[in-house]
Amino acid sequence: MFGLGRSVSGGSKILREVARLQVLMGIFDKMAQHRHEQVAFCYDRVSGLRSIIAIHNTTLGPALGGTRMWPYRSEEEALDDVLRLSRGMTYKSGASGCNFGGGKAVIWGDPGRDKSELLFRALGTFVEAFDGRFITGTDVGTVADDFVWAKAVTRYLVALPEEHGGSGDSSLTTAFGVWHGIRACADEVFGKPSLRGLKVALQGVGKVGYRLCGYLLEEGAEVTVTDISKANLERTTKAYNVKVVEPDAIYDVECDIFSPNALGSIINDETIPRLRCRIVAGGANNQLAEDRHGDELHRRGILYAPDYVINAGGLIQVTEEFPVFSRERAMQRAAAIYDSLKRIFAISKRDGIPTYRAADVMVEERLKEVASGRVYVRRHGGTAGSIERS
Amino acid sequence: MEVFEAMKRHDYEQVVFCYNEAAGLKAIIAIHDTTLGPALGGLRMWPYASEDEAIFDVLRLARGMTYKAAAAGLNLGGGKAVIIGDPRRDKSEALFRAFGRFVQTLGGRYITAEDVGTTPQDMDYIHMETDYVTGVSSGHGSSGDPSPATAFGTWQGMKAAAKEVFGTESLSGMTVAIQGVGHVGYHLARHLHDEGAKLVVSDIVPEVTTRAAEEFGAEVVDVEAIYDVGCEVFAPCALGGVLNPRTVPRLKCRIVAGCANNQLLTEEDGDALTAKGILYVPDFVINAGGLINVADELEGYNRDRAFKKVAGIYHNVARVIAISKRDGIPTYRAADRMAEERIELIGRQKRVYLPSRVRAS
Repeated sequence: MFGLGRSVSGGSKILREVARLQVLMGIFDKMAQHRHEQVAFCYDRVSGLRSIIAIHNTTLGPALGGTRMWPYRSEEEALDDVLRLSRGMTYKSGASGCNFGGGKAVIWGDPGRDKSELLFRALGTFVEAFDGRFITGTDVGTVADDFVWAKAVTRYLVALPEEHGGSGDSSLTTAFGVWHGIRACADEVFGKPSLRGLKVALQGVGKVGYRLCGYLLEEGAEVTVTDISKANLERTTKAYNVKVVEPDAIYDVECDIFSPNALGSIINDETIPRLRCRIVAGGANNQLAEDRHGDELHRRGILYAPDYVINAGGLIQVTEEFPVFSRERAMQRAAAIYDSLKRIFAISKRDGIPTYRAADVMVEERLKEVASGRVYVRRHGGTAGSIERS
Repeated sequence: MEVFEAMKRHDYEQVVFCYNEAAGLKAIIAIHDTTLGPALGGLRMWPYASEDEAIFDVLRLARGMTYKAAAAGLNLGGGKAVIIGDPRRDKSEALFRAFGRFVQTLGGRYITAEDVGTTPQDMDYIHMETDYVTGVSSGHGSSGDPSPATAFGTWQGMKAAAKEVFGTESLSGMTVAIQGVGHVGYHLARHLHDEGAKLVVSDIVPEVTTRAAEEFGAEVVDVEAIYDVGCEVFAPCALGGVLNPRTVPRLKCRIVAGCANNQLLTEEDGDALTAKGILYVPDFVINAGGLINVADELEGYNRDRAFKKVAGIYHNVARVIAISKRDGIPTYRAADRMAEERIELIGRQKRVYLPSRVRAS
């Protein structure tokens, strides 16, 4: 829901070699590689909980990241995953202007078989043990309702079911943020943010894509959609005036903007030559199969809106649950994804680097600047200081 | 090393890896069991040859603290921390402050203290970042040198053993052979001398045996000869592993009761003592005086109160002996059982909900 972050995917020989070397590394070697602050192995015999909580960086505030439940083949795999994901959260939070650091938890287990009240209570106890340094919620393999069990023992949860104080479905905020991100791209490429008359190829009209479609049409864009789900397509064609193409044909649509809102890794060797757009901007996670595909888009003069920046609306929404959720504030901050992207484009031009790398640079600069604060205060105030709920 | 496998084997709660590049910190905090309360355990700094060695050490030591605190009747769990580094070369303010900050992140679930390779000055740096540290240097509400408390507790435990074996808790007129009279052994010798016991001592440092001879009229024997002394009580107060297949057959005592850590080389040596009819007072029960003393800092240190609690080691030892007889097991096993039974029993009391101790939500 508010998870993932940047893609670090496999595939090439080099990456496979890196993966092989990872196996030989100790835990501190892995932490040192990307300067993770803290990794906690948590075990509970009675519930069978085996969980790793990784805290990557808390320069901006308490570490925020979902809890993923997955039947990893080994402890190593679980550790590598939680380290990668927690780091991704540092960048995602940092890029969206949130005052939260990066963290993540994994539960080593089968979500179809191993869930229980006791398991999530045990997890909640370990979350509480961090005393607010780590805040979690649902991710792959877990649902909001699982965390109602954890709520008995910890305050440090987000994205609970609405009746339990959560902010509810975040797809609207995500779609709203993606829309504003697309406008920033249009401003960059066409000189004005308006999407009136622009052609958009929309891949995926699920929760986020469907709502995004509405925003685009409202602004006067021409939209071509695709989806592997018939139900999603029917709902969309019933509500909106859009063109529909086969799932694989979406890459060939002549358009201004290609907007991926479904699968990951769709920007790859096979698809890039087919793209007939000036902009790639959508809400999907891990859009680049590998970093080099971001380089290739840059070389071809296609403006890429880094995924973890443009799709941060869901994350922004849950960060606004503190101290009391405000939808208005969440939507305002999601709209500010426009400004984040404009800043990234400026850094990309300044340093002559692809946008996906400029996004990292922007975050790293922000972290460095924030960390350089040297004025002593007795206790932090403001949004950076308190995550206590009222 | 598979961390979860190691945790599962002895039911650990949490193992936390802490890293800080700027300070050069690589630390592991292990929390074994917090049924009874926050995990208290020292911080060891050591140039471990490998990460696995550090993990192995911190896990082993943390579990030991669970048993020690439980057997001492403390409301504390077991934990331990290690910093991978050379205590002679790698220490700095930044290092210990970075560690202190990580201790603080656990919100009081782990309380640190001085241990091998660390000093009260190091604890002072840690104290700059966290409330959860004991054994800071004097002037910070410290309990100071723990040796007198450890010695006092050892003396009390020895008396409980004498009561069992000789029917009297007075050690007057008995011969006690003390191995090591540098720190704790010295204070122990003073208590025994004051009570009228005869002392035979050995130490690798000649100055300290001379001091014991002058102050307490102790007979000094060669380092290796201490095992052959005919006596009522043999008190190992120096090295670990001194009760082994080479030494146990030589012992001419009825009781082994001293303050050294890890006295039994292996569990078989505990069985060998039992077979010889020697009452072995488990080390972690009798030497808990220092721990009890430092734990008193958590309530604002009061020496009288601390020593009163240390005197309770008499009853702890008596209880170990009772369990040993009840279950027909050697005392070293009875000590573990006493700790486990207490954790189990007190853990059950947690089932009763207390509204004043607010949980979350």
